Amino acid sequence: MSSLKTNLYHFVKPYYRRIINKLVSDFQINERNHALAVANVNIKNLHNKIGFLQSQQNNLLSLVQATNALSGGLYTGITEVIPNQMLAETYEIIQLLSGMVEPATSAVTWLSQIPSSEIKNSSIILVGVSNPLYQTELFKKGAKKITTISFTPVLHSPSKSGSKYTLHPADLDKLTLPIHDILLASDPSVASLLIKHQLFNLGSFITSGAYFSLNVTSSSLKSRQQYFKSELRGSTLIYTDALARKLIHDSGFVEVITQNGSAIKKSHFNYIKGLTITKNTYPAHKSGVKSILYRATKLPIL
Amino acid sequence: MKTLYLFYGFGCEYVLHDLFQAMENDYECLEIDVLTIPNSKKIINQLIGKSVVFVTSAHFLLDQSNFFNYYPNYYPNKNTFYGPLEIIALLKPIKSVYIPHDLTQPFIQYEDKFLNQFDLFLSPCEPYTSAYSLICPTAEVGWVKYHQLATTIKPRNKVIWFLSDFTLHVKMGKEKSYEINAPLLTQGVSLKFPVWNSADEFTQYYRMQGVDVYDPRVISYNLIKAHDIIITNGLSSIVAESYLIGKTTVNIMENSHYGADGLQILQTNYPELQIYTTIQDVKINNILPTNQPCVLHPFDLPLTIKLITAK
Repeated sequence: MSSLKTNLYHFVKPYYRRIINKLVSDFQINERNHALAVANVNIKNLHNKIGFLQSQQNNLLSLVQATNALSGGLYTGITEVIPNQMLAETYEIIQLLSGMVEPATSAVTWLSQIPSSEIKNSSIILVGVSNPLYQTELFKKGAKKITTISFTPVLHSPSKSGSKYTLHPADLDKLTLPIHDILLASDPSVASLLIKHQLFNLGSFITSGAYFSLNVTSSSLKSRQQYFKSELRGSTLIYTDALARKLIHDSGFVEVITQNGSAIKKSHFNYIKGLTITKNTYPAHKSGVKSILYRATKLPIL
Repeated sequence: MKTLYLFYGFGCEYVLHDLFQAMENDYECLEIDVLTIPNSKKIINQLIGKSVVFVTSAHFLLDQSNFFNYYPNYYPNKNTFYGPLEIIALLKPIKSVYIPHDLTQPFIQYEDKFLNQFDLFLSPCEPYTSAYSLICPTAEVGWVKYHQLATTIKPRNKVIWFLSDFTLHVKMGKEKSYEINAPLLTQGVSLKFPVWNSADEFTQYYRMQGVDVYDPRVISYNLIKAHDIIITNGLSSIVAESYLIGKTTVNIMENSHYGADGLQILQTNYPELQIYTTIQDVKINNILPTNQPCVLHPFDLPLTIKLITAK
């Protein structure tokens, strides 16, 4: 047996190394081929992804060009505290150009928040309201004169018919109006657009005050801190109460007041020190977003 | 009810004394410079409900809470006083009139949005008369600080420097101040310091170094009229006065303050203003003469009184 083994060993030995080497070589080739095949697949996937990203980039570029055209180059006043301002304003412009008419009940409810004494014998600027019931109700409450500003998607073609101005939002800064007592902006999209651009200088034509509806975080109402922040949630820009107040003050108003039942919050504009909260009886709220009516006055309330 | 004419302002922003003096014999007038009266709020409170014409030259966004922050060179005092907008809110004047004290910056930031609280803006000159006419009724009455008869001065040089931001020089001392300014002054430039503490001391020292220095109390307008080239620094009202009189005007940025947007205001409002970064950069022989019209005129006191008292 041992000679058989020996003979077998001597017979197989020369081929043993060759067989092993062949096996290893085949294995390595297979591995290499496998790796190459995987790499090929990865490269193809990468190409596909790059292609996808490039098409996304092209889409984004088209979107940017479209939003630029839509907004008419509004973005000269981008503020650091409003990230995504371009996108937010595109949504706001889409909203105010949508032509959707606000329900009558909403219009009446909103107007009921404004003291009749402010409306009686006053000249009023109505910005971006969709329901003609606003004018009817205001005249019923004794308004002396109403000027409405409505919006069109066409740039550089403002028109005036009687006391109605129709123009693209980006043309607002070219508007010259007679002096009015108060300005009303019931649509949060309109109000948000206005205050981000210091009312497009319309504040110079308002002598008494203004009312704005804005979407703010409930938790920021309690805070006395100057926490200036905004966030784009879906297509809606949400402000902290402090930022909403700051932007309203910067638009040319010394006092800003919000009130909900017995809860009241007042801020005062100081030329050097910015805004200071002078009164706040709002209770703490944990979360959520509220549509808040901001009343702004030109003169200090002593 | 008899009408009371209230002339109101703060310190350097109150420039209505001559107007008050011209009216006080014929009208019931009250003058308040809040920095000279410890509790002017008490006086104002007594006017509530009365028929008041309110005339102010003060920046209307300043009040007791921010005045000394805006003018850090003033020593804060404990006087209590209202700001102009507070007075309008409190007294509800039958007429409110604004006469600016600063020709370079008649309105500080945001103030144009509040100009509509006034019934009349008495403008010193264009472009302000037209620029603000859509916001508030305006009338041009000339520059309130130019109401003295112009006397002819024979200048000793063609160029004069109205040095401002003088407190910086007071801090560095007269020797260092002269050392820094000498490269310009040795080119044959006359000098005038503002009326301020230590101005006389600096005037004496500079004269001893051979510089032609005018008394700080000489009327600036007369000196501007007498010289060909006017050198300024910082955000001095001399920039506007000189430019609007039509003189070749230079502004030096070195050792000067402009605030947040002052330099931009100068560049926008005065496009022919020649601005240099340092004193060393200024070579008198290389200054290009400009040719603007004179749009600044003396203060028209009779017209101003007529407009203020009109019903």
